[in-house]
Amino acid sequence: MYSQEITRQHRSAIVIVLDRSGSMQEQICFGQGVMSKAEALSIIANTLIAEIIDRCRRTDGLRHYYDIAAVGYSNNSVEMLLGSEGFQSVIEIDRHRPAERRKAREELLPNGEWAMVEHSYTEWFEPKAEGNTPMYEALLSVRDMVAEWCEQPENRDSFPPVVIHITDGEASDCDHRELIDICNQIKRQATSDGNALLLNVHITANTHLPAIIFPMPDELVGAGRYVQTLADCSSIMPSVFDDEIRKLKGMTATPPFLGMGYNASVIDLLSIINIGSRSVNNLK
Amino acid sequence: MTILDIVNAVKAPYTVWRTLHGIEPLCRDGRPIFISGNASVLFKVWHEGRLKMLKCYTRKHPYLKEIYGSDFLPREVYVTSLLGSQWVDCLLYDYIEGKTLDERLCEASQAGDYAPLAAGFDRMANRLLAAERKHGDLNCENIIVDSDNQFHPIDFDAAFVPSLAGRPSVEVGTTAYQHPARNEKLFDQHIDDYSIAFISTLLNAAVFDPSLFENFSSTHTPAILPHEIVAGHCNRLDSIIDQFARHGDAVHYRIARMLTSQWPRLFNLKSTIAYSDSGSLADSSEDDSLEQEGGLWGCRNSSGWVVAPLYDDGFDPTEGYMVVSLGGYTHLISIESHRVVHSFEKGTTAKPVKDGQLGIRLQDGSRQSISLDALLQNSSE
Repeated sequence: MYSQEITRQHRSAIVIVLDRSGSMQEQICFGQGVMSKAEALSIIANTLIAEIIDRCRRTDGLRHYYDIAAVGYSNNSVEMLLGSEGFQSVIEIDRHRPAERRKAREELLPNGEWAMVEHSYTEWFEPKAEGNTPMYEALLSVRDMVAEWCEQPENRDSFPPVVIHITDGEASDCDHRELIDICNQIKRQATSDGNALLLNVHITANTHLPAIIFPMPDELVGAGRYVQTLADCSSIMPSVFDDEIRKLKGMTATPPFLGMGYNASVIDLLSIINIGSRSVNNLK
Repeated sequence: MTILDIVNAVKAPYTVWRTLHGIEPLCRDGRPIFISGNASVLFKVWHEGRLKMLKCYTRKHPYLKEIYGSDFLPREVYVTSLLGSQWVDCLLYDYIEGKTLDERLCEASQAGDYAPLAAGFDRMANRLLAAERKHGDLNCENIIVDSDNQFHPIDFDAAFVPSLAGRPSVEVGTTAYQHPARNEKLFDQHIDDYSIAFISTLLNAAVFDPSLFENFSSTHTPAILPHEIVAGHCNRLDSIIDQFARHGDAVHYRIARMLTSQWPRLFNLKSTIAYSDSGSLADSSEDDSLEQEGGLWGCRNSSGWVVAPLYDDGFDPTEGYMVVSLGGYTHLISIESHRVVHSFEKGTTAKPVKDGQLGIRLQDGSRQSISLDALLQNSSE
C-alpha cells in the first residue's frame, strides 16, 4: 500500500483546501516580513502548485503526473481556485500559467555582501479573507471530487489523492461531529494503493503557542476538543512517511503519526506540506 | 526552497557560487532551460568554454561524494528563497549529445530499427558489468543513445561503488525495470543484473517482434513487467524465449530465462552477455571440439571458446560447421563466423555435416539428406 510510483500511466492527485474567511486578515510572520495569513497562504499554495508542475518537467516536456485541485471557502461560498470544477492536469494548469510576480528585498549573502534579491512566484489565485467559514460545504465538494477521481479506471491503481486542508479556526456551517463525518468520508475514498490522505493544518499567528505537528496518539492525551476534532478529521500517516516525519520530529518519535498540525507557524506548515506532498518525489 | 528558486539562482548575477564561477545556463525567453529529476534540477550550461550539465540537488543524498568523486560539488550554490535560503549541492558533468532510449524507442517502429539499439545496449551492459561503479536505476530514461548508437548511462545517483559495501541503498530503482525482490539491503555489484537482463531481452526480442514496443510511445512502460514475470504470469516471455530459441540466439535465450529468477542477483549474466560480443570468441582452429561448461555445450579449442557454451546439446564441429540444439530447435553454426547459418523447424534434428551433406530427421520421423550448399543457399534467400 502507498507504494505506487507516479507515472504517466499511474498519475496521482493533490487537493489544496484553503480557509479564506475573514479571520485570515490577521497578520503573520512570513520569511523576513509580516503579511496577512491570507497572503502567506496564497503564496504557499501557489508555490506548491508551481513546484508540483516544475517537478513534472522532463526531457520531453511537461508530463501529466498529477491532477491538482485548489478549493477555497469563505463568505458562504466554495470556489474552485484553478478556474474550473474539480481537478486539472498539471499540463492544463501550466497552459494557463499567469505571469510571475516578483518581490525584491535586500539580503545579506554568505559572501558578506548585501544584494537586492528578487524572488518570483506564480499566482494562479489571489489572497482573499472575508466572511464566514463554510468548511463543511468545501469538504463536501472535496469528497465528491476525490471520489470521482478514484473511480476513474485510469486512476484505480494510482497513489491515492492527498488533501491538504489549511484553516485557522472553526467551521461556521457544521458542528464538530458533522465535520468529523465529512472528513471520514473523504478518508474512505481509495484506490487499490490506499485510502485518500487528509492532512488538516491549523495555523496561528502566535508563535509563542506550542505547536502540535504530526502528533503521536499520546501527544493528544488531555488535548482540548478542537485538537481532538482536528485529530479525528485527519488521516493516520502511512508508514512510507515515517522516516520524513521522524526527521522533523526527532528520531525518538514513534509511529503512528497523525496527518495534522495545530498552532502551526508558516514554517511548520511548510514542513507539513513538504512531507504531505512527498509522493511528488516518486515520479518515474 | 523550490525549483523556481534554483532556476532563478542559476541565472541571477548576485548568486554566490563556491567554485563554479562564470556558469552560463542555456536560456529560452531569458529563463534557464531546466528539467527535473526526483531529487534534482538539471541545466545545460557553458562552463570554461565547454557544454556541461549542472545538476542541483533539492534533497540531501548521503553517497554522492563516493559515487561521483570530484564531480560532486557540495554546498556549491547559495539559493535564496522566500521560504528559506540555503546552500545547494551540485554535480557538474559532461553533456552527452543524443536522445534518451525512451525517445528512441518511441521513434523506432520496425525490426530494423531495434537491431542497432539491442547491440548498443549489450555493448554498454558489458562495460557496466565490468566497471566498479554500478548504476542502480537503469531504465529507458537514464540512458542516452548517441547518433552512432553508442549507449551512455546517465544519472548515477542510485549507484553502488565498493566503498558503499555494507550500507543500505538510498533508492531501489524504477519498479518497471527492477526485480520485485530488490530492496535497500540488496546493494552490491549485482544491482544492475536484473534491469540489464530485462532491457537486453526486450530490445533483442523486438528485433524479431517489433510489436513489443508498439504502444510504448503512449505508455512509456515495457510490454512485460518484472513482477508478472517473476510471479510466473507472463506468457509473452515464454514466446520471447521461444523466439530466441527458434533463431538460435543462445545469449538472449539464456538471459531471458534468467528473468524468472526469484532472486535479483543473476550470477551468470556477466559471463553470458559477454558472448554477445563476437570478439570475445576465439578463432577456429584444428583442435576445435565440443565441450561443456556448467551443463551447457559449445565449441572450444586451446585459445578459448569458438562457440559459446550456451546450448542444450551439440556435436563436434565438422567441415567448418557445428550442429547444436537450443530450446527444442536445431541450428547449424559456422565455426568461422560464430553465427547461426541455418535454423531448422522445431522438432527437426540434424546430424553433423559429412562430405557436404546433412542428415536430418523431420518431426514426423522421416529422414532426408540435404546438401550443405543447398541449405546455405536456402538460408541466405
